[in-house]
Amino acid sequence: MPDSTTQPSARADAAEIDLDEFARLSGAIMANLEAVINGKTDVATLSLIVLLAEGHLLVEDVPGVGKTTLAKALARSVSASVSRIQFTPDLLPSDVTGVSIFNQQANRFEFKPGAVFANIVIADEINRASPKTQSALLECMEERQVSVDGVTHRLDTPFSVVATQNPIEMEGTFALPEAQRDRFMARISMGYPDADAELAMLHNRELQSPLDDIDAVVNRDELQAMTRCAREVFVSRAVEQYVVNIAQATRRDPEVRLGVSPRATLHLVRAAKVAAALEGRDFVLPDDVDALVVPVLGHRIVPTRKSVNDHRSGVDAIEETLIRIVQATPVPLVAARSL
Amino acid sequence: MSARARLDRRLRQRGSWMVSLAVLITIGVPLAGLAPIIQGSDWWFAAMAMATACVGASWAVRASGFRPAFGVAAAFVVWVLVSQWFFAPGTAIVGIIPTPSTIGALIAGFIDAGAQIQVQTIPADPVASLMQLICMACGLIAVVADAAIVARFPAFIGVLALALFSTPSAVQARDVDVVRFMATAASFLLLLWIAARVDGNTRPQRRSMSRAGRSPATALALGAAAVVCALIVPSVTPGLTAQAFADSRNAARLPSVYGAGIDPVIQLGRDLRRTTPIVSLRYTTTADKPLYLKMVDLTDFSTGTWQPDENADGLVQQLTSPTGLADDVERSTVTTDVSIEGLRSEWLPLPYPATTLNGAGRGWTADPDTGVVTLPDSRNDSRGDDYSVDSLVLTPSAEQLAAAGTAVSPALNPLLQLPADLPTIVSDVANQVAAGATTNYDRAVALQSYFTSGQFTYSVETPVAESFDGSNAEALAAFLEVKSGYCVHFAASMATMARVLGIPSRIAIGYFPNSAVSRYVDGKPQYEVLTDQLHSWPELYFEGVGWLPFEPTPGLGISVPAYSLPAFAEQPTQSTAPTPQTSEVTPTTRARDKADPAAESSAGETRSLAQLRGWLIVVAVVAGVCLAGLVPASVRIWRRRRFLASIDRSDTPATQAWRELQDFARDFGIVVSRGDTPATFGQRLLDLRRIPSADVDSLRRAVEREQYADRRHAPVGGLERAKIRVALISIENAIRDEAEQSARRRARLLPASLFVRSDRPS
Repeated sequence: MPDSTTQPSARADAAEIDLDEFARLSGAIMANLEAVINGKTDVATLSLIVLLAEGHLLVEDVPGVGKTTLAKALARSVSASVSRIQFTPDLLPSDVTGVSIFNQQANRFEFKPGAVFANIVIADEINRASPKTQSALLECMEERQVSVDGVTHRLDTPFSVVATQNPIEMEGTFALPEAQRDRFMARISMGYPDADAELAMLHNRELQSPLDDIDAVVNRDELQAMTRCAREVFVSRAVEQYVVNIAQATRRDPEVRLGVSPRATLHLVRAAKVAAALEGRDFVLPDDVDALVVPVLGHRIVPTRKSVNDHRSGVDAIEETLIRIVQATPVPLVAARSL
Repeated sequence: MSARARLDRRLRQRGSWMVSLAVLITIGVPLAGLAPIIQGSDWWFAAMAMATACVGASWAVRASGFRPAFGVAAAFVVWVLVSQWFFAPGTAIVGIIPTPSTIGALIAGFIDAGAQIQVQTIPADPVASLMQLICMACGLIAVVADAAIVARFPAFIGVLALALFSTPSAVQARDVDVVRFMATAASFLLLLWIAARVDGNTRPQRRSMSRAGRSPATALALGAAAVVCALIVPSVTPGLTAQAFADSRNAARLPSVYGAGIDPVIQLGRDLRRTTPIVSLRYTTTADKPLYLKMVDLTDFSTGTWQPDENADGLVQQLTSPTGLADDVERSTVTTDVSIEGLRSEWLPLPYPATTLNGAGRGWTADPDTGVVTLPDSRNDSRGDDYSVDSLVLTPSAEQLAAAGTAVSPALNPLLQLPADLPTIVSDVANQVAAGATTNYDRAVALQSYFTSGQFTYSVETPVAESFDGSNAEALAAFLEVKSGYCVHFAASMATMARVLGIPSRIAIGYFPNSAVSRYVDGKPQYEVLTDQLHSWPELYFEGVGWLPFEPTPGLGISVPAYSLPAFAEQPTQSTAPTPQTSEVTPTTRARDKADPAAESSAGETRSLAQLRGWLIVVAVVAGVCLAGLVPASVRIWRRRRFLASIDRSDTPATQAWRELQDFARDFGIVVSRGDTPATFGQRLLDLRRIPSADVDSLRRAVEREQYADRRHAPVGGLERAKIRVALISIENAIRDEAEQSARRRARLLPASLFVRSDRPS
């Protein structure tokens, strides 16, 4: 399908693609992302996984490390509609969802769609908005629809929210409630670039932003085809059991106040499928699950206060707990009964 | 507390109760072995309650999260508290803080217990002081065992168990009870296994690599060594081994071959009850009949117990002429060559009266009164001695014996002493039996006839069953009522009754070979004397003739001296022809019943067979222990074969190969965790050892495909199976080549994969 990038929506029925094609397309997206954020392959891969698994991504870090740049690069790599909402304390819910306005000429109310009506929505500094506005995003994210004045408007597919936020310790922020955090498939933390990457960044951005060089490499149909391809990845009973065991372990662990939801289990399997597909494999390994446990489950776990006090930050405590759980959970290795 | 520490603590809590239980079993099983020497069973429950209290206190403290050392401290405190509450009540302040009077009361209890051990016969009555000794000792053993667990040295408990186990053997000198031994060994090995497993689960991870297979291996090796020692030591030390275990204080007080601190004649009973007798000595003699070989005389009965004379005065460096023997008594001299084999004794077995002794080395001393020859202290072990002795065979005439009348020289008065509290039944029976006899000789013959007349039966078990084993006055009274016992009771009764009737008497202890001649050496008969032929008989003194042995013990088939028979006493005149010393035609002792435990071994052949059987058992047990040591290796080989075979047959050949690889890695001390994915384990292998990474990768991929891919339409081909097998063998060879020699040996003999089933990566 060499012409698919140049002729968007030419094939509305979106032909199936195989793993080789999947690899080619994902490689192109990865190249775009890495051109923008130097030396952060893990972060780029994770954001791609979330996009292909039809999830929402929460990027959390201190200001100025490239959160928004990553989100923009991801959105621009896909020739899909992109909108960006800068969350502020005075942002109203209707700014997000849209509003019904009375059209005097037509003598009726007309719905004016908000920023959320796009394939990829960049919700910048989401924790600066009031809780009321934050929760307006809730329904959109999970139900993929907007209800205004009793009328329900469906959102486009694909629909993915890439939210960035500053750590909650910073001033003037409203912490995301647990319910809203649970709707994000994964949370990633950018981290500071290393010295070489930072130097390269200075050089690259002297004249223009690298974002300007980014072209869309995948159209909407291809994106959906990739999503379907990843969904076809095989998950054995053993791996399903393994995921469930890990989830159960988080609910039993003495250092965890609130374990992960069943939705988290679902997200973990979906993300693991994409991860397997990205490696060109048509089945999920426990290793895929292991690698995704911290980003997918980490933001949903509420550690006990004591556990937090024992560590530098809550994030460290959660990571340590999750890694311990992963190591303690037996990896199924079932031999056939017939000898 | 970090997550790791907390997890460790939980694991310890879960596992340690099993260790504590195993400790109690390891104490309780050998303790139950004391049952034959202590009456009832209350003492066992009391002692185990004490041990349980100590171990339980320690467990409770450890389980509630305190440091293990506090657990040991708690066990000790409970030991002190329980001891003073039960054995020194009311002496402690508020019942908690011990005072000097508490300690005094406890010490007094111990001293009394020591006295009880001396005085009481087997089985002992567990009086309060003995109960205190057993309970406190058992409690202390429990505390020490608990400390050994905390110190992660559970193998030490084997020493405690062995000490408990050998206590009844030391006191009773019985053969090792195989069932009890197996139970003790099994409980000990169980303890080692549990302790190693619990230990392995909680050990800090940085050491887990080096310790993965070592802890159970070391423990099992120590255990097996202890088992072998415990089996060999009692088996190869013959006869009178009680000395080795004896309390030194008592040993100094009573220098006896019979294991000090215990009524010496009980030892004799023990030897008679030995199930597999061994050869004590062999001798050839020019005499035409087997000879009594005397080792020691029990002369002192003033205290109520027949004892050897402890007075060392008057010992001489040569043999003296026999006491009281007049020149006109007919005699002949016989020469006997004695060769001592298994007997460990400070006294030489000699025929009485001996006149010359050759080849017995230097430094021996003889008692002029009894003719007992004692070896010097520097050489108080007679094993291996060969010597030649000339002795007299006396053939006194009936007139000479009758002429002794009732006269006794005043010098022999000590040999007429009786205890003040002699039960009246003894003197009543004596006077009744000898009612018609006028001379000492007639009385002696009447006494012997009384015992051999058929109303008494020979049994080595009855005295134990009826609790009157021993030669003290009470035991004799009981014997006269029950009318069943063995040579000690017959000899002691006759000697005591002779003293009642005014005949100087003493009890000789030595050997009498009641067997047939085993073979002839240089035309002379050679007799083989076994441990269960240890015998005792009374010697009675007649003026003008001296000391003569009598034989009141029926049922042993011993030919009785002719002069001791009523027929001899009634002969009107004595012809000039020499009278045979012993009567062939009228042995008054009946041939023994078949039920008699010693009856089956009466013939020499049977004895050597029994001896051979004993050694065969020892060899078989040692071989069994060695074989048991090979069990882990065999199980491992079997498992490996099963895995390899399943590679060719199973639907999941790669998984089988992977499991075998994990076991193999465990054997070589590589950590294998249940939380490992195939990729993590493969990576660990590659990190640790120089292993062909292509093989690891291909095997890993095969496992991953097998386990996690959709393989509904992909049966495994033969070529793939062959590849899997080749990869497995090549990885295993690489691991083995990398390992040191000691690691290889350990992996083969004590494969850790059999003991450590799961571990966690660091």
